[in-house]
Amino acid sequence: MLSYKHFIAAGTLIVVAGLACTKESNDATQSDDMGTGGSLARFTIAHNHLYLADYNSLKVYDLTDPATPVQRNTINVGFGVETIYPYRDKLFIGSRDGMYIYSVTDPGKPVKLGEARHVRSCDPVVANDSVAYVTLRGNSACGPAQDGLYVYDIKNITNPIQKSLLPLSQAGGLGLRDSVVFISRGNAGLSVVNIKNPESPTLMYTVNDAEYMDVIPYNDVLLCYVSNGLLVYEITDLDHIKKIGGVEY
Amino acid sequence: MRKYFFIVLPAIFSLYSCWHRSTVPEPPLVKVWGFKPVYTLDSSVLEIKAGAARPIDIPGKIYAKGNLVFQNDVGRGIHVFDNINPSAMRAIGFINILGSSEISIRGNYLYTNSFTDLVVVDISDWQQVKEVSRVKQAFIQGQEVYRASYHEFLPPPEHGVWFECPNLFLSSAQILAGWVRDSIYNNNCFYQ
Repeated sequence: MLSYKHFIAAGTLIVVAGLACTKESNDATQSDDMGTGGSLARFTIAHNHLYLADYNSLKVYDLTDPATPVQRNTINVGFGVETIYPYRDKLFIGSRDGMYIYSVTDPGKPVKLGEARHVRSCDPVVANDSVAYVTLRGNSACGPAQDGLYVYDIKNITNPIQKSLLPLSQAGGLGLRDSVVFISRGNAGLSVVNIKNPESPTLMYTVNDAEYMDVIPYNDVLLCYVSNGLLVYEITDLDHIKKIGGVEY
Repeated sequence: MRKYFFIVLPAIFSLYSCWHRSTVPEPPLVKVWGFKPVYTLDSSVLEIKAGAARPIDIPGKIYAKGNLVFQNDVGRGIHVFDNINPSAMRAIGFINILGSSEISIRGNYLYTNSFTDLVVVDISDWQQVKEVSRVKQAFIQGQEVYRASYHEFLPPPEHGVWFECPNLFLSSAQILAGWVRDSIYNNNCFYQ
């Protein structure tokens, strides 16, 4: 059993700020030119740079010539850097010992703004202007943290403050859409959590069609990375998401 | 002076035997028949090319761009799915990339890894992809792809055998190509 398998990862930390910001949280750094990855991504492109999460480091490559990445920097971040989530001029980094927030105002030189340490666990993170959402998952590989959705107020970016914890077993890859966050929970299902009031996330319901690892809200559908392939849900009605297709093996 | 000699020398000998006695003898290693890895200098297995859709072996991370959805097959490559009609999503091809576990795309370029190398692939025509550049040893964590998957790639030819563990740090000069039966010590890897 590998010690860094993402799908073993700990719960998701969700930082929910009280902002009624309901648009796609990654709008600012996405464009048709780029497409969208999931919350477990180790390779992330933003501001003409490619960022890699590699053991304890964040590696920075310049993509001025897109065919020839040029390394600009290697930054020691924390223990077990796992995921990178770009939002506007920041990178939210999930690592085994905490969530780190870096400024990429100068994209080639990320500068640490703030951090929220946590008990050792695996933690993908997504965020918007005022809230960071982290799922934490504890197990023998990741660490002893309590599984769940952790919400951090990041209005003061240099001092993220945990506002709530919604316990959810095996919380892993996650995705934001309007006032809802989708949370992959392995064989515990796919949970739909209401974050209209970010400091009090509530579990709406859970679907159990597969073993869920990560999700990408994409246009009117939710693309799900599941243990035996890919599933597609229609999410026009967030109260009742509907499985409409996929490719499973 | 001589009497000191007769004190010091036995003292040294007894100290030596103390040290010697404190070492727990280990069971001797035994030579057994097992398998040794055979490496090839042929780097053509690293060639990145697209082909027909195929079943997924190890589902991995997903990525969406335009009307296409991509999914890693950990260590093997990237599956391409048609998402024009999401309720009828279907696999339409596979890009062979040995050692791939990550995906990021911008414009016509796919950024992935081949084990520990960062690889850039031109996907302007995803059916005729080509590697455009590679940064060796850019992504050290990529070595774990090999550790996870070499059993599936090319396991030893029999179960219940000892084998010399393949070198985990691949380079284009050292690709695991096969196994040869040989006499090895019984403290290596064991294939259940």
